[in-house]
Amino acid sequence: MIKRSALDKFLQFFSSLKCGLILLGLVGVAVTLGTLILQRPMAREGQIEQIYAPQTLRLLNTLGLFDVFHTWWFILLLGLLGANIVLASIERFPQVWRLFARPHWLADEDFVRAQAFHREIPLGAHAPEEALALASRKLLGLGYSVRPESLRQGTLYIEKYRLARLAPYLVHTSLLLIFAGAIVDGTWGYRGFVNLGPGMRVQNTEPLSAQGAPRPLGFTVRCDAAGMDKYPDGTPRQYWSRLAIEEGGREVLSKQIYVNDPLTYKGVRFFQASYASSGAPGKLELDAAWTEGGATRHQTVVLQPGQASPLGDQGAQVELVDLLPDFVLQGNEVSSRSDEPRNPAIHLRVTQPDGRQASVWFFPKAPEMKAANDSGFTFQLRNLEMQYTTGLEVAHEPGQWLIWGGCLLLTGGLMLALYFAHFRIWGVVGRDPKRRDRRVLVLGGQTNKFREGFARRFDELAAALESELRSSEAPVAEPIPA
Amino acid sequence: MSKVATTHVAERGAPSTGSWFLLVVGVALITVMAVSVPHLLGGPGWLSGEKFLYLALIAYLGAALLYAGAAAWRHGNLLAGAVALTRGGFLLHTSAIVVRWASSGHAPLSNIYEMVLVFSWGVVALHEFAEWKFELPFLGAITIPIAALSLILMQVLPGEIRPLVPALQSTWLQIHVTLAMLSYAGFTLSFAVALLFLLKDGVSARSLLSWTSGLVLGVYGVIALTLLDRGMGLSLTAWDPATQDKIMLGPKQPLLVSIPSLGWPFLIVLVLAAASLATNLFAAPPEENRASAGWPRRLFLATIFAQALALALLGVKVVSGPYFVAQYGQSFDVHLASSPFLLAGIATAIFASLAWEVLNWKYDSIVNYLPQRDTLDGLVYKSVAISFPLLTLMIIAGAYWANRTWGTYWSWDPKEDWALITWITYLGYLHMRLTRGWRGRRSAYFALIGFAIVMFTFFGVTYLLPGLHAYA
Repeated sequence: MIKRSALDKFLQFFSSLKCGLILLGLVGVAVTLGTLILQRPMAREGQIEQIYAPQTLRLLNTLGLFDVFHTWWFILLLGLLGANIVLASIERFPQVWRLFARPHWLADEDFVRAQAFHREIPLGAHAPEEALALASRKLLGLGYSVRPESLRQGTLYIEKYRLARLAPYLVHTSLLLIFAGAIVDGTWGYRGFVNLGPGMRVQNTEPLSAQGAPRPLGFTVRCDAAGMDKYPDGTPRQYWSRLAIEEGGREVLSKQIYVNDPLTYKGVRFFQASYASSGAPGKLELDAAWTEGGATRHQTVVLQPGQASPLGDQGAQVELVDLLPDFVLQGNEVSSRSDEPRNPAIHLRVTQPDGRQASVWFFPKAPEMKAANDSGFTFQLRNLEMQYTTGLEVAHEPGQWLIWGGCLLLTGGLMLALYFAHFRIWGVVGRDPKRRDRRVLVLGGQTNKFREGFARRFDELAAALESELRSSEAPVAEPIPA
Repeated sequence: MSKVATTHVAERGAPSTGSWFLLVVGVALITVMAVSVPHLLGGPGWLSGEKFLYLALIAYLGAALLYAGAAAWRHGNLLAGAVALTRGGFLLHTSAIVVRWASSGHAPLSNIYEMVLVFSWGVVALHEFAEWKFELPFLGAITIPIAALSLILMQVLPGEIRPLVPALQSTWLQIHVTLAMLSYAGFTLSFAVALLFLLKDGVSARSLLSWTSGLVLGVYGVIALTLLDRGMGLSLTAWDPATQDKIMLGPKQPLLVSIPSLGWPFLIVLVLAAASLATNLFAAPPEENRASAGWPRRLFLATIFAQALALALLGVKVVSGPYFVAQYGQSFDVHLASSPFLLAGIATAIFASLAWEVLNWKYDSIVNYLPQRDTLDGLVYKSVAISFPLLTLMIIAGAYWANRTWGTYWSWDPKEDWALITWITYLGYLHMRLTRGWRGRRSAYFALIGFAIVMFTFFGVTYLLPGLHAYA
């Protein structure tokens, strides 16, 4: 027995608004901590170890504060909040639902007089049915429709925005839907990335974090082309990739994707995330010069990796051996700092008609660097096109429609909760409390919000009905039935 | 009404202080206008909207002054002038937005400069609406200075028109940012009305002095803690005039330049504000001991002078760079644009201090001028009730846009987190108000706290906790 009541007490607290607000506050505190402490998913490798002292590091690590949003206690907190919303709704919903499903359509004199707002309106010369009919016509004229079933049984009944009663439950349900969507995505969804050069195909996505494993897509993604459009000042305007989906060796879908406009296939979406040089050259355009019979001659040579091009008209050939896009000299070692062609170093091989070979290094952005050149040709770079790879983010979020559904419901529910009040007004014919022989129309009303606004509306309605009943009494002077 | 008047007579400080201040500020402003308007009219800058904005700023400053004067003297002409100047400023402000939109080819919603532009416009638009709908004569004394402060802050934010980076080319961006600015402006209105409510509710000039000197203390305390170095130099981020940008050593690691001995005026403000707060908190109530009652006020007045001095010295020292940094054996320039926070903090403190002086000087007149307590209380709720769904929609639109751009609707990015914290705060407010019937002071204090969080979400996260919202 005692155990039971302890459980009851616990449940009562757990389903209370107080508990909900405490949980909400705790979530707020946790989120704040998550923004003030550097989070692992956002930090660079080793950055956290560099910033925090070892003791602090150990403490924060134990508490999970370096990845607040994925720790068990944060998930638990959200779970408890969800449970609180469910319990609170279960406890209060039946009562509200009764009111919503079966409002009090018929009223008696005492009930109406007990309302927070009420007024006695003299019937004048009118018979009760006639007065009710007059009043209901007047109300219709003012934009309030009177419930006919109630009117037939002698009660004038108007109400508006009954749905507003359910608003808190709509809001709570929407939050649960959003939670559910997040759970679905966390359980069955995944994220990853793929890097593709033109002409390449992949069947798997790479994991975003180091400890994940590649995941099979179940189909093949092919990249046909990728590129970047620029503004006149050279800043990027748009990145795009032309993608195709193949299944069983057959193309089933193709689309050119942009930032903000992904490709979706079987619930898996491919986003344009990055676009970068792969570090390998695509096409070079060179200006070759040599002396022949005392005159300098020029030729434009187009080079592609692995293909030799003819040079001059004596049967010489030139081919690309190596290209460092962003070279840096450290001692005698030459290496590339990045994959972007900022400071290329180009290594060519010239083969003379007699089979002699000569190596040529040249540095278009650093002309002061001169390397030995016994080929008899000098080169200048006209144009360099690098090979580009496109970086795609891959996301599978089966729960996202629950989220968007929840968001719609949340918006609607909030509007209902904040801007609409459910109000009801009853009118019945009763006896004047001061003169028992006189009949009056007793008008009473209630609202669940905005009392000031309703008070004004109620007064206006009562005044309108009063003047209606008075003005239409004059021409027909009927004796009052005893 | 007479009871209120008699209780506060003793609380009033030297009656001439406020009018004296109003006069000085007025003369300064007219001088600035006289000097700047002819200079403004010629030259470039019309197409980016900057010139319109300068003019709007001047109109707003004038309007703020007239609003304060109108409340002090209850003078109809002053109020009419304030209303007219506000509307003129609003038109110029609108022109600035339209011109900028037309010349850049996209809605001005893509960086912090443009956001502050739209936010301040939203504040004035809501002010106009509230003034028209609810007849709140003194509202402009709070909302218009906030708009003016925003425009001042914009002068140091990078305002050049840049083409849109690919991620920002989305209608959802425009929806998301418009909703954000409208809801922030709405919360600003709730803050302004909550302040008016607290005044009407009988929060005395003395308690407000504690709050104001506390604010000054807080602002200068943060400055001292974060920017002051051991040799009493003030550290500012180095500025590269060629790129018009801060010099960064790495992400979140600016190159700091110390301006020698500039720390002193800031420290003096700090000490004076602390002294003013302490004497105000611990001194005997004014009715009992008249001799010492004036001290908090005198100290506070000194704080205002010290603040003006600090600001002036900062301006002079920043311009007279570059400064040598021993660590790199090189001199670097500094610029106010590299620390918009510092400037915003200093300007806010000065505005709040001046506002208190005016309030203290004409406390009864201003309080009596205000609408009824319940009207103001209802308005605080109404402005939150309008802003909260906008905030909700802003978060939803942002999530939807992120989902289309990055493939995830929520990435626990600091800006998202703080939007969520703001949302939770106002959710708490609405629950307390609607189900627990919180009214009056508690509700008003909640609105003040909520506004502080909104401002942190807007500016603090941008500068202190960068993440995915790098553009803003």
